[in-house]
Amino acid sequence: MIFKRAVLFFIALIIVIAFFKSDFYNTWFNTKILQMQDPDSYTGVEDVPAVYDRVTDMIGKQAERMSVRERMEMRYGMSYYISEAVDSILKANKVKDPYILFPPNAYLKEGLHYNDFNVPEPAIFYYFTGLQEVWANSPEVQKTNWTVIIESLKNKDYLQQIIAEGQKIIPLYNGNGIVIALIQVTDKQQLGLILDHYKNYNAEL
Amino acid sequence: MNILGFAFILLLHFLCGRGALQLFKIKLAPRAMVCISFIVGVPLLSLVPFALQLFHVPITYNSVLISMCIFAALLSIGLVVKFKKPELGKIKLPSVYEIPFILIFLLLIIISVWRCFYLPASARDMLSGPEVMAKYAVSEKSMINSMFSVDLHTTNNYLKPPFVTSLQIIYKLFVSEIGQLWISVLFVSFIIWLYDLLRANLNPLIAGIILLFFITLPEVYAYTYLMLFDYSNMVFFFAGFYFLARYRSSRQFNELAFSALMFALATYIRTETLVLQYMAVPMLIYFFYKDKTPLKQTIKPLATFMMAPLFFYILCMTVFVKHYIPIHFDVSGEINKHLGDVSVFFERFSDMNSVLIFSDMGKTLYGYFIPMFIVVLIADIIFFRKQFSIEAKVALYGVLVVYIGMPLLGYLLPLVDLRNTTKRGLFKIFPLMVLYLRNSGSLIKLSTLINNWEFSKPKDEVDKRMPQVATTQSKGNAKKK
Repeated sequence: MIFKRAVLFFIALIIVIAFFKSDFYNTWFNTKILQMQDPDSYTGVEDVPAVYDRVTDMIGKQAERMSVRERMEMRYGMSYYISEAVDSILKANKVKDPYILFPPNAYLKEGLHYNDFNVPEPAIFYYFTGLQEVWANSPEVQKTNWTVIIESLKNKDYLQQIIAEGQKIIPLYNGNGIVIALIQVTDKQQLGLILDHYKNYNAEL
Repeated sequence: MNILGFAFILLLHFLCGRGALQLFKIKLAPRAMVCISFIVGVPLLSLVPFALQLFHVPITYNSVLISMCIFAALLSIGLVVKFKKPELGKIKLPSVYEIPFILIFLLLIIISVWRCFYLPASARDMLSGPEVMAKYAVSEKSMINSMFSVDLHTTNNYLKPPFVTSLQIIYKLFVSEIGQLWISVLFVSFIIWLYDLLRANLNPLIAGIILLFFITLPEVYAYTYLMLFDYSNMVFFFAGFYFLARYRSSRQFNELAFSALMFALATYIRTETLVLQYMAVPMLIYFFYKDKTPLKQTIKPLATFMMAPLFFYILCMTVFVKHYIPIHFDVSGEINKHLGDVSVFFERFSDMNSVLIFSDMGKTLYGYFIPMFIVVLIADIIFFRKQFSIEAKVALYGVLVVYIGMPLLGYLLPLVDLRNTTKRGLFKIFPLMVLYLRNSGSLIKLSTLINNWEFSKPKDEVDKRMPQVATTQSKGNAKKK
């Protein structure tokens, strides 16, 4: 019986190896199970996926980054990084009741052809920061008192137009010809100019 | 992570689940009892923060702790009163040739549990609904909290039943800020239970292969660490059919009542499951017809089977969503306005087959599980068509319910889209296929041949044993009756 069980053991072993050597399951196992984003490759603004050859390496690296903040940065990438930056700046400046306008996703994708950043929807931004985000079509858009500008550096005219004289721009990110910055919205005219700029773009997911 | 807190919550899950099994007088093999106790204990414990919210009691560490202890103690009364030293029996080590399979299952389980623990929730359905609700419930002591002050025009995820929200509250309070580990409790218990079910009827080699196909279902595996409703919903939907099959064999009302509870919990997790569960009612009526059960005697089981999930549906949608969520929502507004146009159903049915199942995308989502099932089913129809056990028939009916029911849901509720809701709704079909496979005539025959070769039994014994294996359970239960 021992011999027969040894035969069955080798059959089982061959089945398992053959299963994971088959094209489909081999690809699945290598790309979805063994490999994962390298936490070291995450620079805070670029969600560059790098991979490990061994799952133990991946778990080991992740185990070095156990704080919730590090795990969230790794998971949500740039959306979380920008949200967190906005949060810390406004908290440092003790800003009360901020309503932060973000550009529509369609503006980034179609207007700027910029695909590295997905604007978090208001509920998710609230989850990240506890702050109120508004979109161009939000019922409370008129309450906007801060805005995150995502703009091509080529659009200097527009930037000059919407930034009031002497007003401070707080840069959050600058790269690939795109600037992401936080500015205070001081009056309705300024808000009107910004909303007008987004008017041809649908503020949806 | 608070390891002691996690151990304590695990104990509460177990006590709640085990208490419920005792209450319903369900008797299974010891390992199955433990697994199902953990499984059932997860949604039962989630009822605690939900109940606190319904009764306007602030959700604090102390209130949740005390209520959970009281709830677990109440459910455990039956256990204490009828306490018997657990019969552990002889511990049976796995066969040597199960080891390659068990090792690979262990690897996949460890990776899933680690990811579940390490990675924060990422599904949009969670981040713009239950997860944000749970986060602020912990700090503001209520599920109805400041998240409702946010512009929610982009989402309706706050209208989901409070199953995930409640569990996240418990786990954030007692285990870790990210929570989520309850998914691993369900996943690990479910996999062990499924393997046990397969091993009961099949040779370990065959059981290992089937479970290997199941655990490596790419899309399903991903949801063993991605927090969403569908994996949990799949587990309870399966349990509903499993206990329905047991009821058909035993005719014991408690098995039907427990099946109803399983369907009720599945409905608590995803309310539209009610429609699918009601599609199982004709089967129940057919049972009564076949047994020539007097009409009067059918009322109680039918009412139990239909009312238990309906109760949870009303609790979630009519009571909680309508009267507690501060944003008005009308369910009737979500129903297809042109029900007369049945072409929508056929279109969805066709899309489901051509896009999600029999396509490259289908292969990416579900691997080779469905082709494997179809091959075995065809072999059974050709060679063993007279040997379909009760459990096999119930499992096949369940497969049909999901196969027809998912497009039906798409027809009734336009929000049930193809590439998200239907794709994940189809998860429910796979464990039912596993349940069928454990009763498959071809696989039992193959198992018997391997067993006889392994134990050097004469060939003529092969044919005698085969049908016996297939009907062991039903005969055993019939004797009980």
